[in-house]
Amino acid sequence: MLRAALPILLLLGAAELSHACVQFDGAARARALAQAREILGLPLNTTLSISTEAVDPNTCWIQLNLYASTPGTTLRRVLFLSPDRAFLTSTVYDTQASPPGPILIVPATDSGFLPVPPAPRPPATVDAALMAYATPAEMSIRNGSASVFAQLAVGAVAPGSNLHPAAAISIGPPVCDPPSIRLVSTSAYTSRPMPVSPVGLSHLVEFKIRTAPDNATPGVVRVTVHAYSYPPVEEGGCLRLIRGSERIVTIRVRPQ
Amino acid sequence: MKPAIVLATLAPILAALPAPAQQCRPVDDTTRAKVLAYAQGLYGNIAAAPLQIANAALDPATCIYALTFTTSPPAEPFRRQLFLSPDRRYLTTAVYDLHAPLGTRAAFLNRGFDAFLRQHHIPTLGATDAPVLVTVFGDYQCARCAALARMLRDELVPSLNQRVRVAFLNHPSSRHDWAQTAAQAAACAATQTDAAYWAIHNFLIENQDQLSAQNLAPGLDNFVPSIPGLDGDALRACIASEETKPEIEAESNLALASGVTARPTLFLNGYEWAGPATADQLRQAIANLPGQAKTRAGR
Repeated sequence: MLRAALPILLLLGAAELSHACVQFDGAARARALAQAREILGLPLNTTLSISTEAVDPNTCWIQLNLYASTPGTTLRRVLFLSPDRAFLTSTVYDTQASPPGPILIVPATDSGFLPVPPAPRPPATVDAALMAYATPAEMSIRNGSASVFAQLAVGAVAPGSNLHPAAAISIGPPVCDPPSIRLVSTSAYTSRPMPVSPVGLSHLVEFKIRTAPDNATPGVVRVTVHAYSYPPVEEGGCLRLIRGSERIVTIRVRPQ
Repeated sequence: MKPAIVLATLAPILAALPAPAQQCRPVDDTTRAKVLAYAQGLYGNIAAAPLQIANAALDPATCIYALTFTTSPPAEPFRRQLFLSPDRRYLTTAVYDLHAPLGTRAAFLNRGFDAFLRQHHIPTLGATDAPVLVTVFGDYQCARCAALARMLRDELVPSLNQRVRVAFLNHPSSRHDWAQTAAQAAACAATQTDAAYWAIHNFLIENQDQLSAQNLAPGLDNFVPSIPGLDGDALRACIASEETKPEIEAESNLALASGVTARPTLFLNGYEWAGPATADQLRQAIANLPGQAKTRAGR
């Protein structure tokens, strides 16, 4: 009975809570900074701080304008904290907003709490290219399992400027031959932008593969890696459309 | 009643009850159509055909859906993943859980470095089973790289005894005209013995300011006979054939994939350290690494 009444009681509370955003207090702030350091892949000797932050009072999203300083270099990045203060993300799209595009609560370099809609700009097409680095040609399976690292780099350059949108990869479903070989998991880690041409991001990808312990048949795992890009929010929140590319990474497996 | 008071009153009761399964808000047809239309607006100019939601994976712990948008053949393949918030209003490009364990990237990188060292039989300095792996990316023609290598060899490794293992990996700059050849020479020596590798490595960092593209080969020729057990002819043949060039390229590619943008760059158990470092700074940083007892690492 009590349990049946709980949702009603909570709903009554929620009705009054609708315009009160969850606090972003000291503990949550420390966690957010620690996770941001992790997400941005900052060196140990980098100091990271929230230079400004802004709450959208209508949605309770918080835009965190982050400032990182390492001897000789500085870095500015924007991350968004969800209304429930549970996760961070780099770009937010509000499906109730029109036209479609990433939201930006305040310009990254300003402070203040007034929502600023992104300036409408014509879309631009951004190419993303994928280059594979040192993908192992063959791997040995021992006792039915193996883990292999592939190094991939993605580059993207905005046309007509030297700005480079963030680029990323997604990994498509594997094709395994024979099917007894299974790709158990893939983990991709994004590193910081590289000063190479085209400017891009590098990724270290781990593929974990399993076969039957007594497998004696060589085989192949093919994974499609897609490159895509999206604009950094610092560019004003304009929508830059993306053209991706893909590459098939082939891993040959042989029993040992 | 104020919400805070409601929750405070119910807190003991809630704690005493078995945790109910989290009820995630379903994605009904209306939401699905709204999200699809929105994604179409986002990507319509680049997707060659109408989008469809090919996959919708629910994370029951967070109620976040991972949506995969694709086009159907024969249109040019298109694939994007976006995450739908628990209230089914927002789409995001990533979800970084604030409560996720920290240090996963460093651990991942460090496992990659360790696997690379084993796969490529790279000699290391210090105890082979040391709990801290220091991975340095540099080149033999970079003055700060040589200074760092000397500090690690003469100060850090001796002071931390069995606690640290150091690996030097090559990421030669294209602006340095003999760094690539020097790296290949050291790698050639490593194919013979670890001691030969360290002898060449030390020769290169100690004589860096005297070496040039012109005198590197004769300098090595003069030095090699002093290395016990090293076959000089085999070393010269290895250098001339550039058989270790792919090895150096693999090291450079590992540097790029690990986000290395400067020389030297070092990683302490996968945690990057940027710019110059003193032995004291590194000892302190090592003592503060997760899992490293301060009293042990610092001694």
